[in-house]
Amino acid sequence: MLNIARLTFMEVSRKKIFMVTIVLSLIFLLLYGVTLERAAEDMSRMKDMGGQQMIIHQVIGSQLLGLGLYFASMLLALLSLMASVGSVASEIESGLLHAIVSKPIKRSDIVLGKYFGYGLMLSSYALVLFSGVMAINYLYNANVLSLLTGPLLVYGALLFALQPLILLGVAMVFSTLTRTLTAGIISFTLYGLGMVGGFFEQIGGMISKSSLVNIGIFTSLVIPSDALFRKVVSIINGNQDNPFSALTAGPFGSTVPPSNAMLVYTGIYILGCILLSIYNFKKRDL
Amino acid sequence: MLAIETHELTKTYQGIGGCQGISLAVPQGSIFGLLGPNGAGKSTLVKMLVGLLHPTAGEAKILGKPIGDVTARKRVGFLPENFAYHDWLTGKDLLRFHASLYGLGKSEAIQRIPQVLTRIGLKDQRGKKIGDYSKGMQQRIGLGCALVADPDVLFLDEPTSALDPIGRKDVRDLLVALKAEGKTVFINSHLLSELETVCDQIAIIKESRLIFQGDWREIVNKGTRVKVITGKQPLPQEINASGGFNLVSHRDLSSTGESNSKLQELIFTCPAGNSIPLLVEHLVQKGFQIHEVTPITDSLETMFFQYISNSTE
Repeated sequence: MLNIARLTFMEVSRKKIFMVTIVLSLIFLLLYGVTLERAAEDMSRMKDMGGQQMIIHQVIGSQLLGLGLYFASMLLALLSLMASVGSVASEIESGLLHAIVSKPIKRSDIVLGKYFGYGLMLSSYALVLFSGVMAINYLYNANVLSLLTGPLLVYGALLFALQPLILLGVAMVFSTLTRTLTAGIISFTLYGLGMVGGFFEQIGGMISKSSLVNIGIFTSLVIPSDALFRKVVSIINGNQDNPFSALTAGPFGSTVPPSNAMLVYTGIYILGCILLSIYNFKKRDL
Repeated sequence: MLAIETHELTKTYQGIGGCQGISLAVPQGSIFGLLGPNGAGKSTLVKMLVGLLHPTAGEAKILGKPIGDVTARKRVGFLPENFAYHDWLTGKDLLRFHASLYGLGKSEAIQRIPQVLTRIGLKDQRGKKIGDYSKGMQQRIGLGCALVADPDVLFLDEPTSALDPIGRKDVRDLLVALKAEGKTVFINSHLLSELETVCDQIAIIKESRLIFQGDWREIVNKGTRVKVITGKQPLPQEINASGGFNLVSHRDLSSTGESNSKLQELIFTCPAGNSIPLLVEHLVQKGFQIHEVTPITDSLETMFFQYISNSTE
């Protein structure tokens, strides 16, 4: 399994999509940094205005933090899906797996090796991206992070790094079951569904519309990627202790933070994806 | 113990196609050829034997162990028909990776890989990326991946399809050398002339079913034809009746305008290859002057087409 994982890790780092995503990430972090710097200048000009500046700082700051994390999460999702959706399917189609599967290696080891190879690479990338976004916020948007402690930051980072593992799991399930194109369409559709469901849930929370919140919860059960993102945002914003937590509401915020039960569900979901991928691949004729 | 053994091995897709009821017995240390028209089910059979396809019914053993058994697969090498490898790896790195899949230790791999590279003729290209290899070189490195663990049974699916005539000869020589080392080679190929030179036994599959299995030379020698050039003399009445020989053709060579105008050509069918001396003895007794005796052996191609067309009728 380790030899497959090592080869997969090396292979992902060589893929064009990885290089493109790195470049896009750098551009994103640069633009994000410039935006936050300008926003910080505006904030300091507003300091003398008195009155509501504290609330305005908190609202804008939270939205900018949420925006940064959201786009980082999107970049991560794109890389996760595009890199891994053909991990098995395209290698079956090209014949690359024929010489490997015939070797004295269990099919489950091939799936696990690929999962851990991609997972390690994507989670490492997620941590780098998360660090970049948080570093920029510490520089220009520190007010919004006043309640963020070291352990919470680490916890948030770990959950952020868990996001690609969900999408990787989904991509692997379909990659072991269908052709690359089909697997790609289904995986991207599910990711999109999760995004839309997340927005519904936030809007439902803001206007106290339970039906919208329920739609969000349902889509989180189908694919918990967005729920995990909301959990990260709520941890970073310190929603539990933040007296201004209501002000963090918005499309990139977290008015209805997912419970810890959702985290347990996410763990089970990832494990289920891995087991289902193994089952699919074991049954599949090459 | 047989190298490969299948019993009623079947793979169908919604009840049709694939291959059906294949029972094969491949002895160890032999080169076994699998023949058949396109779509007959040859690759399906090979893929089942190497674990790429799950049989619908029946069973198969390699070196006495079920095909799914990991310990049996440690002793099996496979060159796929549609070979594709990680094009960003060098030839040496690819062999190292495949050695690790076989569970070869680092020191064992270090010792084995140069031997394999030499054997497949890629020693000087070992540091080149697979993506920069020609098609023929890629097929050779695929062969290297199959040989890296020194397997006892080797499955080769169209092993020379991308090779030039020199490469084909190299592979033929390699197969003969592997046989001499006691390895069993199972080849699926369309190139009958190549199989003819190296194969001990063959199997023919047509429309998913096995229609022949055995020593093809034994079959073609069964009804050996013999061309005999004798001095010109009348043919006795009883020449066909004795010893199971049948005169099937008679030609006066004087009519050909050749210099040997006092000669004639007789073609007989004999019951078996070793009956030729009896035929010669019989002709001498009848007073024929024997100038030349040449057995006429059918090629594998002739036999293949006979089987394929007979099974249609």
